[in-house]
Amino acid sequence: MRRYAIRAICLIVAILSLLSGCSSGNVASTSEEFFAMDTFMRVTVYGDKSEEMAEEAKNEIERIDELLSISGDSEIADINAHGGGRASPETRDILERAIEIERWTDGAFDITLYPVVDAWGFFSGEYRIPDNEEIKELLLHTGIENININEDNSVVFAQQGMGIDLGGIGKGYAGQRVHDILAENGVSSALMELGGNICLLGTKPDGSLWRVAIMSPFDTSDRVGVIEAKDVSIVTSGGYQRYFEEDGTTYHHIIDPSTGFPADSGLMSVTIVCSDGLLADALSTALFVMGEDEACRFWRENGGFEMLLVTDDGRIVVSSGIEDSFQPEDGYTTEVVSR
Amino acid sequence: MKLYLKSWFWVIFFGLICCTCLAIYLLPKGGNGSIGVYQNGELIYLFSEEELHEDREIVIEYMGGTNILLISEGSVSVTDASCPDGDCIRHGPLEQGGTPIICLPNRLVIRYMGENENKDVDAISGEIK
Repeated sequence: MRRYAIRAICLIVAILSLLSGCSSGNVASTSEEFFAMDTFMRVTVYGDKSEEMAEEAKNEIERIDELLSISGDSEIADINAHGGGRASPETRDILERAIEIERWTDGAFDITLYPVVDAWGFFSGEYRIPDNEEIKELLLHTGIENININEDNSVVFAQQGMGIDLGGIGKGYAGQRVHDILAENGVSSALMELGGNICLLGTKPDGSLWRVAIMSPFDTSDRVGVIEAKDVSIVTSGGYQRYFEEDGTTYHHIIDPSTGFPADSGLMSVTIVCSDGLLADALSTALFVMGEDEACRFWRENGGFEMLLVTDDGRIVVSSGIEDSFQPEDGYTTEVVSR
Repeated sequence: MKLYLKSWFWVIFFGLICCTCLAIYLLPKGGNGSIGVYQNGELIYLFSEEELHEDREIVIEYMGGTNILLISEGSVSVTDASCPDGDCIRHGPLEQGGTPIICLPNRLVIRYMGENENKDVDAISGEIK
């Protein structure tokens, strides 16, 4: 009798241990939540060094914010204020990558739109609609051909009134930097939520893929589907969150560099899945400006990323590389683009 | 006698297992259904599910700015704010599994507690301020 009782207790303890292990994930984790880069961020690191590494991640993001911000004492703010200045090697590398992407996307991604975006009031929050003449004049003070980066890391603007805005790649770069630092320190599982800019390190602690919902541009409390992935950045751009309305017309913050007005390409949102966070961030903006046909052509001709487009008539277009990992919500169907 | 003991043992054993599973299933999960209000990273209000059904307004101040929270019908929304863009107002009522309500100028975040335990997804990619 006693023998059976002891056996029963041992078995129950074993099963309870197993159940509690499953429910809690049984892996140490630390989340850091904070404001940076004009958004709310959360970094969750799993593993034995989670506490130390989560703090390291936060510090790194705050350091990059101080480097790239258009306000305060950042290098970029200083360069903008003085029509040029000296950049650190890191800032120079980021600028050169941005210029490279600008050329690659034929100007759809443009870091020199600062004066135009400023005129619309998207930096200050004091929104206004510039007239055609003003836009035309401001566009003369944009374009990468007007930026000179010299060997001594000095940045010189060829025109007065120019400015650089790295907001289109800052979060992507920060996510990738944190990803790489954590990986170098032996972390195998982490989730970086930098606003809606997602960077995944490895898989979830149990080895399964991360599940990332793609927000619906028609109703931000809803989603168009879920992408399952690991070790990539997933970045979405759209005109449905930062905008203002005047006389019944909506003006969003993604400016088409060719017109100086909010991009009107027929797309509601663009999601890029890519192992390079900076590139994912830049391409989500560039493809939004390009529109569906041009974006599909660009994807077919270039490799290294996958895309999910939501059109203004409610269609979802996905590139073939994420066809199997994307699960649309009920009511949505997908069209697949192949090479 | 031996057979009797064995039967008795298995009845007790499976009974205990069933009770354990039921208890684990029924035990409240940490933070499930409650909503936290954070100001600059600090939890300043925590509303339980019951408290979310006691309708009222709360004024939250931060560095000269204000947000007015409406607690109604089991959720929280921001009805007025001093910030110029009003994103927190446009967000509407907080929904479980949805994005948090964020007011950047006033460093305010309103979200479900323990949300990661309840969501069927790990993160949301979208234009989030």
